[in-house]
Amino acid sequence: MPEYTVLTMIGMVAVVLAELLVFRTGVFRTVRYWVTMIIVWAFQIPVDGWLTKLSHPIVIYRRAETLGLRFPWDIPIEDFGFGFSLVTLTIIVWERIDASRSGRATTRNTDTR
Amino acid sequence: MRLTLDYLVGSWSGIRPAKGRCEYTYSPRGRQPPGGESLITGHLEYLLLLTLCVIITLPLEFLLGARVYRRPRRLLITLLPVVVIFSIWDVVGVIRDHWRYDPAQTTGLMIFGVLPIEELAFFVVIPICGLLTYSAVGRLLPRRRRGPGPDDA
Repeated sequence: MPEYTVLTMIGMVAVVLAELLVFRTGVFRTVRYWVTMIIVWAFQIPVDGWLTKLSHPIVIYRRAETLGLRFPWDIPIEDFGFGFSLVTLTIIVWERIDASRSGRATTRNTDTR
Repeated sequence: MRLTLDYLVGSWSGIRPAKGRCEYTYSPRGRQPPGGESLITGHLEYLLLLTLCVIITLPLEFLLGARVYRRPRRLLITLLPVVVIFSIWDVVGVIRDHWRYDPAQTTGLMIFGVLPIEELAFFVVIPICGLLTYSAVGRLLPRRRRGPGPDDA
C-alpha cells in the first residue's frame, strides 16, 4: 500500500485512540463535533482543491505514494483523512484544556489564572 | 545576511538548500515562462490562499459568537502540539518524497531547510479555522442543558 495512504490511516487511528484512551473529551458522541467535521470537509474541497489541482498544483504528490484516487476535483482522498486528523486533534486538545481548567477532569491544574 | 538568506532559501532539487543561489534563480526548470511570473500572485499564491482562509473565517468570531481568538492562551497551548506533530509528518512527507511544493507558488522560505513556512502557516491557520467552526457550531446548535451550562463549551 502507498506510504502516504498508510501514514494517513495510522494518523487517523492514532487520533481516534488518543481521544478514546487519553483525552476522553467525548466529542465523538456530540452532534456539534460531526457538524463541524462536515463543514470542515466541505471547505476543504475549495482550499485543498486549489492546492492540489493538477492543472497548476501548489502541492505536488508523487503518484506512487497515494492510492491515485483524486476526488473531488483533484484532491487525493488521503487528504481528507489528513484533514480529519489535523482538525480532530486540534478539537480534542482544545476541549481537554477546557476540561482541565474547569476541574472536570482528573488532571493537574497548571493554570492558576 | 547573504549567508542567512542562502541557508533559508531552499532548493527544489533536494532537501538541502543549494549553496550560492539566491531566491530568484531557483525557479523550477521550465515551469515559469522566462522573465515573468506564471501567476498573478506568483510566490505568494500559497500564502494568499491561507490569508483568504483567515479572512473568510473572521466573521465566525466577530459575528457568530465563536470565541477562539479571544482565548489566546488556550489557543496557543492547543496549537503547540498540533503544529509540532503535523510539521514532523510534513517533513517526513517531503523526505520520503510523498509530496513537494511548487517553488513558483511558494516563497521558498524554509524552516530547518525542509519545511516551507507556508506549511507551518497551514498548521496554524487550518486548526484555527476548525476551532472557529467548532466554536460557532456550539453557539448555534440548540443546546441541551445539563446543569450550569458552560458559556461556550
